[in-house]
Amino acid sequence: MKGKISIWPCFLLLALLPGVAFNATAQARRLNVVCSVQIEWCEKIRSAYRKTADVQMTMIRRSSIDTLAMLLSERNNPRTDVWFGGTGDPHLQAAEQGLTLAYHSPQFHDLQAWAQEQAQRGEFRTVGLYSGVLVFAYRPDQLRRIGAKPPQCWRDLTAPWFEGQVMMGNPTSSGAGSLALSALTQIFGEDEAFAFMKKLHRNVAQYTHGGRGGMENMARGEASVAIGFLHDALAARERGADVAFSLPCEGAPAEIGSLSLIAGGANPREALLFYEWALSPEAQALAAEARAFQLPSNRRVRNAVQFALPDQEKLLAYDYRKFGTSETRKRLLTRWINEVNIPANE
Amino acid sequence: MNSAFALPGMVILPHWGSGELAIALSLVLWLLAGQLIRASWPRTLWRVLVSVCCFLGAASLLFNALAVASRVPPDGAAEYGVAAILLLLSLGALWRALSETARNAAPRSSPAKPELAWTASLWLVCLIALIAIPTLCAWGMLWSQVADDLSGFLRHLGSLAGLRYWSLGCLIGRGACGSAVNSLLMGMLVALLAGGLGLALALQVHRGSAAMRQWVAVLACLPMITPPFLIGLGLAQLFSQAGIATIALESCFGIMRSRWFFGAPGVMMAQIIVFFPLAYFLVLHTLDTLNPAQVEAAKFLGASDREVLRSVVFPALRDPLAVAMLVIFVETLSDVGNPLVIGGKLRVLSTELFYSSRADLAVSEMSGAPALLLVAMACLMTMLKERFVRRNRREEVELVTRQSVRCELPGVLRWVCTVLLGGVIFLLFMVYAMIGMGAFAEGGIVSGAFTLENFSRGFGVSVSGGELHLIGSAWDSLIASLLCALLVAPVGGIAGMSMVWSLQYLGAECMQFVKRLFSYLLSVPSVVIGAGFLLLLGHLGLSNFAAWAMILLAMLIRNLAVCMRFGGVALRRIDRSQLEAATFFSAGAMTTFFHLVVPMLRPAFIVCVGYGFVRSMTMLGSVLLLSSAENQVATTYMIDRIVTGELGVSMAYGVILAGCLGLVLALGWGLLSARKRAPGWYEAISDLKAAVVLAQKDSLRQ
Repeated sequence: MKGKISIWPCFLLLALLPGVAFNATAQARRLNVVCSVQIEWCEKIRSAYRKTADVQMTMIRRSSIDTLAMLLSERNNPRTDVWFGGTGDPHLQAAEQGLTLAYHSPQFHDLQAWAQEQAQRGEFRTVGLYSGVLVFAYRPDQLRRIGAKPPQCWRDLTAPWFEGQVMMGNPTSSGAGSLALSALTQIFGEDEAFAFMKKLHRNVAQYTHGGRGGMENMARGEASVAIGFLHDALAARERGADVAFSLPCEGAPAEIGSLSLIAGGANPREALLFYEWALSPEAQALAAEARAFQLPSNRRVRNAVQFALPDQEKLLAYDYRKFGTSETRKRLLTRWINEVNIPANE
Repeated sequence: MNSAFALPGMVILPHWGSGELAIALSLVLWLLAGQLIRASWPRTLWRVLVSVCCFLGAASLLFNALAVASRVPPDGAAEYGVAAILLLLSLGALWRALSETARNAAPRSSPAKPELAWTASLWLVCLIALIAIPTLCAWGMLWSQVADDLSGFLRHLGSLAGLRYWSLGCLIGRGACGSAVNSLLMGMLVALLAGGLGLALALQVHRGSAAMRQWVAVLACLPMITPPFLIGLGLAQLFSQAGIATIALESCFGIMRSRWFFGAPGVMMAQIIVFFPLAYFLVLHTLDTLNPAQVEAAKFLGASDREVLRSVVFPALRDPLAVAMLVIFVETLSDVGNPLVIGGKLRVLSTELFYSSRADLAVSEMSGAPALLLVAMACLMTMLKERFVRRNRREEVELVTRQSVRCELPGVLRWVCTVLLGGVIFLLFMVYAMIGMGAFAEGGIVSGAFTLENFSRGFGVSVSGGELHLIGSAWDSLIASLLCALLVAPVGGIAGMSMVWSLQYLGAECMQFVKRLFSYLLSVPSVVIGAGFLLLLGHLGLSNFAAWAMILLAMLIRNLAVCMRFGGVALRRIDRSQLEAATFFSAGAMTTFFHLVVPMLRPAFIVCVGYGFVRSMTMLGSVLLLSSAENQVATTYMIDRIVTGELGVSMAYGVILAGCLGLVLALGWGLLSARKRAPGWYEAISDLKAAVVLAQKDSLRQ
C-alpha cells in the first residue's frame, strides 16, 4: 500500500521542471542588461549589440529608481550585469553602497567633461553616458482651452488653472521626479521646497511611474503640462504631437545619465565588452537614430541632435554630490511620502 | 543585537530588543506546540488549529528576528538556512499530527485509507506553508522596521491605523481618502454595481431568445479572458481627456474636457466591466434552474409579474448574488493593474503595496502595513461569505437545465434592463474596438494613421541565413508566459482535484473545517503573496531558477482555488454506491481513484485546465512583483510598456495574446475534449461559463 503513494511528490517535482528547462540554456554566452532609457533606445541597443557580438542578451526596461531598488534587494546574487542609462543620482547611490564595480575605461579621455566628473564623483564606479535637461513641456492647444499661460517658472505651476493638469514622475520610482524634488530643494531651500510641493500636489494629475510616461500622456492630451526631460518632449514632437517646452526660469537642472557595471554579476567578461561598446561613438550615435535626443557623452559622436542645447547660464548649478548620496535622498523621499503625498493635501 | 541567535544568557542582557524578544517568544510557542502535539495525539481539530497557530507564530517571529538581525550585516544566508530547517521540521511535525488526527477523525463507514489521510494533510501543510509564510512576511516587514526597542515597534503597529490608510477626507470634503478607505469604498461600490448589472442583464437575457443568450454569453466571456488592465486601457481611449467620446461630447455639446476618468470613476467603471460576468452567469444559472412549478403556482393564484418577481424570483436570486458580490469585492480589492494604469492619483492598498515593496529602503515607513490591511480585509470578507453560506445552506441543484420558466418583468424594469443590456454590449464592443484599433495606430493614439510598427517592435521577426530570428522584444515574455501557463494549468488541475478527492474521506466535520481553512488561505490577495515571497527571499537575492519557481508557485496557488471548487462539484456527481461497491470488492483507494473517479472527472478536468490556462496567462498581481530582467511574462511586459506610455505596443500584445489564447484553447479542446470532436466556439464558451458557475456555485452549498 505504501509503495503506491509515492506518485504524489512527483507532481511537486513537475512544478520545478520549467526552471530546469530555462536554466538549461545557461551554457551559452549570456549578458543581462537593465536599461533605464527610452524603450526605443533600449531596443536599438539590444538589436545592434546582438549583431556585433555573438551573445545571448536579455534586456529589461526599468526606471532608474526601480533598478536601484532591484540591485539593493539582489545585492547578494545580482541577476543583471550592466546598468545602461538612467538618471545619475541612483547610479551614484549604487556606487556609494558598493553595488557597482570600479572600472577605468580606455575611452575615458574621449568623454565630455561632465561625464568625467560624474565618474570621479562615483569613484569610477559609474560614468556619464548622456545628459538631459528637465523642462516644463506643454500642449499649446490644451493651454488655450483651459485659458492658461505657458509656465515659465516653478511657481507658475501652482496657478489655479492647472488644477489636475500637471504630470510629474513619482519621486519614489522615477528619475525625473526625483531630480525635480532635488532641484526644488536646491532652489528654494528644503522647507520652502516642501511647502511648494504641497501646493503643487493639488495641481498634479498623476505621479507617473516613470518620467517618460507622464510626458507621453501629456503629448497624447491627457494633461496640459508635464515636468519631464527635454529629450522626451522632443521625441514626442518628432512623432507629430503638438508639444512646446520652456526652461524653468530659476535654472534647469540637468541629469547625467550613467553607465555602471554591476558588482557580482554572473557574466563579468561580457559585461565589460558591452560597457566599452556602449561608450564608443558608434553605439552612442544610435541614440539619435532611436529618436533619443539626449546629449551623448563621447566627444567624437557627430552631434546628430537636431536642437540647440540650452546655454550653460540657463542651467542650474545642480549639486550632484549632495543629492547623489543615499542619506539625502532617503531624507527627502521620506519627507515627500509623509508630508506631500498624503490624503490630506488633496 | 548583531546575532539572531542570542543565547538565553544574552537575552537577559539590558538591551532587550525586539529580535531577542521574538526569539524568546518563538521558543515558548514552539515548546507549547510541541507539547500539544506530543502529549496525546491531538484528537480535536481545535488542538490542531492551536498548534498550527503556534508553529506559524513561532516561525514568523523567528523570521522577523532574523530580518532584524540580518539588516545590519547584509549576509543572512546561514541564519535563513537554520530558520528554514526549523520551519521544515515543524511543518513536518504538523503534517504528522494532522494525518494522525485525520485518521482518527474519519468515520468508520467511509473507505478511509491511511494514505488518503496522509495525502490530505500533506496538501494542507503545503498550502499553509505556501500562503501563510508569505503573509507572515508582511508582518515581518512591520516588525523589522524597528531594530531596537519595543516602543518603536508599538509606534509602527500604530501606523496600521494611520491617516494614510484611514483618512475620511473625501467623505467630509477635506482632501482625499486614505488608501484603505478607498479600497473598501471601491470594493463595495463595484460589488454592488457589478452585481446589479449582472442581475439586470440576466433578467433581460433570460427572457430572450437562445441566439441572444449565446451572443451575450460570448461577449460576457471576453472580459473574463482579457487581462483586466487592458479593459481599463480601452475605456481610457474612450473617456480620458483625449478620448474619442470626450472629444465628441465637446464638439457636439460643448462639454469641457476633463480628467474625470482617471481616478476612482475610471477604475470603478473598468472593474465593473471586468467583474459583472461573474454575477451575470451565476444569476442566469439560478434563473434557469428555478422551479417552474413555483412560478406557475404564483401566477395561477393571480400574482402580477411584479409580485412574482418580488416573492418568488428575487428570494431565489439573493444567495448567488450575495456570493458573487463578495467574490467581486475581494477580487477588486486585490487587483493592481487597473489602479496602476488608470488610477491617476487614486490611492488603494494594492498600489501602495506595489510602490512600497518596489522602492528602496527610503519608503520602508509604509511597507508591511498595506499588506496586512489587505489580508485583514480579504479574510473579513471571506468570513462574511462563510457565515452567509452556512446560514443559507441550500439543497443541491443540478447543473442540468430543467424545463425553464419565463419570468416576465414589469414594464419599467423591462425598459431599464433593455437599456442596460444595450449599453453594456455597446460599451464592450467599443472597448475591444479601441484596443484593436490602438494596436494598429502609432503610439496607441486611436486617431493616428494605420501602422504595423507596434507589432514589428514587439513581435518582429527577421530571416537571415535560412534561420528565423525573433527580434521583437516581446517574444521572450510571450514564450515564457505560454510555457508557464501550459505547465501550471494541468498541474493545478491535478493538484486541485486530488486534493479534493483526498479531503473527501476525512469525515464531514473534518472536511468542513479544512474547507473553511482553505477558503481563508486562498482569499489572501496574490499581491501580498508576491510581496511576501520577494521579501522572504529577496535578501538572499533570487536566482533565475528561484524566481521562475516563485512565479510558477504564485500561478499555481491562484489556480488551486478554482480547481478545488471545481473538483468538489464534479466529485459530488459521482454515485456513492459505485465507490462503496469498489470498496466492497476490496479495491484500494488509488485503484478506485484511477479506475473510477478519473474517467468521471475528465470533462470537468479539461475545462478546469482551460480556465486555469487563461487565468495564468492573464494573471498580474504577484507576478508583477516577482518579475525581473529574465523573468518577464506577458502581463508584466504589458504593464512595463503602459507605464512608459507605450500604449500601442501593449495593445498589439493584447491582440497577439488573445490570438494565442484562442489558438491554444481551440487546439486543446480539439485534441482533448471528452466529446471526441472539436467543439465549436459556442461549446467552448459554454464550457467556460459552466466552469465559472460551478466554481462559484460550489461555495453556496458546501
